[in-house]
Amino acid sequence: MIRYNSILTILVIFTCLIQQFIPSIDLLFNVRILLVPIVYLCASLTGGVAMMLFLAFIGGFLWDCQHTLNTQAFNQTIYTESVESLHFGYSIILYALMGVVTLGFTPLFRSGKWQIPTLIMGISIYAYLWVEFLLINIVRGNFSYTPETFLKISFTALLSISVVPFILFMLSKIATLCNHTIKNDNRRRFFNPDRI
Amino acid sequence: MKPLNLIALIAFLVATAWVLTRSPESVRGIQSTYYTCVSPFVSQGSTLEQKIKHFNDEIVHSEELSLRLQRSEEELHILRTKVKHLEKIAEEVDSLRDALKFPQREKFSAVTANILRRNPSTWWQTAVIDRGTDHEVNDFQPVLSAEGLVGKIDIANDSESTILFLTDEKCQVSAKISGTHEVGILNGQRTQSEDKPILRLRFLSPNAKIKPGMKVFTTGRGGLFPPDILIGTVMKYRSGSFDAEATVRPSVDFEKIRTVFILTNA
Repeated sequence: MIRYNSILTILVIFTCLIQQFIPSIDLLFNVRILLVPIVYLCASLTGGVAMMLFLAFIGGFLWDCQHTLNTQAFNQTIYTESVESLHFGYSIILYALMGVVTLGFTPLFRSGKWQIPTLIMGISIYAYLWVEFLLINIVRGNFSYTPETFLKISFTALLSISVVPFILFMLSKIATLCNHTIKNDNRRRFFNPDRI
Repeated sequence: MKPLNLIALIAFLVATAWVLTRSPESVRGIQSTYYTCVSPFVSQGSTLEQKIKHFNDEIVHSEELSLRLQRSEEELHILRTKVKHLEKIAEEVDSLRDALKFPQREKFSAVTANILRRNPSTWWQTAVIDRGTDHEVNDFQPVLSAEGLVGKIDIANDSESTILFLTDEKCQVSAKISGTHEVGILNGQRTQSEDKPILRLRFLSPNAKIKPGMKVFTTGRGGLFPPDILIGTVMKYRSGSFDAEATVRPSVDFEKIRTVFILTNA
């Protein structure tokens, strides 16, 4: 289990580097596959509560290192209105919330049904982007929404979940190599008629 | 709840609280360390992306590209001749200034940079360039292109920097409309695409005589952007009861821009 969890941590950190190689798609409102959140969610699904929280911290921290904007350094007499950005570290909380939702579907994944958790991951990414968008609107004021926003969020979530089956497959292979069980053998554990 | 999970939850909350209470300077230090580790991968990723694009371009437009190369070489030859001529004029102007003891303008010092990555984040209008503090590039320096103002340096790291484009809501510029006395604050808009970006010039006089097609330039106020840099052209002017607002089309094509200049002595 320790070996498997260590690999999960390395995998999330390594994904941050892979994310640098993923270009945005100009034709689809500059959307890109959000590989770090997806790998984090897949890892959370197979790792347990403590691992989910640890990876939420690592993933969210690295994500914010990449995406937090610098503070403004302007002459306040001319630029009277400062435009706020999201605070460094907010992604850790959002990652943890996504992880909690995904973790709820672990029993389904353990019983071999990966399709529903995959769908839930897509919904989580979709909700995560909407929350980010709403937070920007809250801190900056003047709620502005365009159809492009909706399409950008939708396409990002759709593109991101397209890689989930591959990541889950890879994780199951890693688990086998580490002698770690992430799936049940489809037998009921709490009621075994053979024991009666 | 299992004891391990409880300990993990407490540790998570403490660590998150620590991160959320970091000062901007501390965050800047953390980000600098992160970018130092990640920068080789950003360059490699960009090289790979460009190789793929160039490969496709070569297959589709090889004839067109050779024609463009020929035209570019001709243009380069003409421009080189013009530069030589201008250098001679500059020397003459300098000697005349010396003779008249006229106060000399500060020398224009710029660093050329290539855009490595576009839109690395979901919401901000940013790009990563291949120049950093190693090349005298620092935070908040103005970024230009041949067409006009591009934005400013958001975060400068050792060998790479992030540009905040003019089209982002956070990039504010003190701007004036040529042919009038109107001065306002110009900034981008939230969640707009790069193909047809629109800028907002706010805090104008409600009775100003502003017409579509008028040019917008920087004022130089605020100590960030130098004066008289072209920003764009007025598209619409809307007057309110207390102030007015103009929509401006930027002079720079943000979708096609590949090379930028950073003013290091602005």
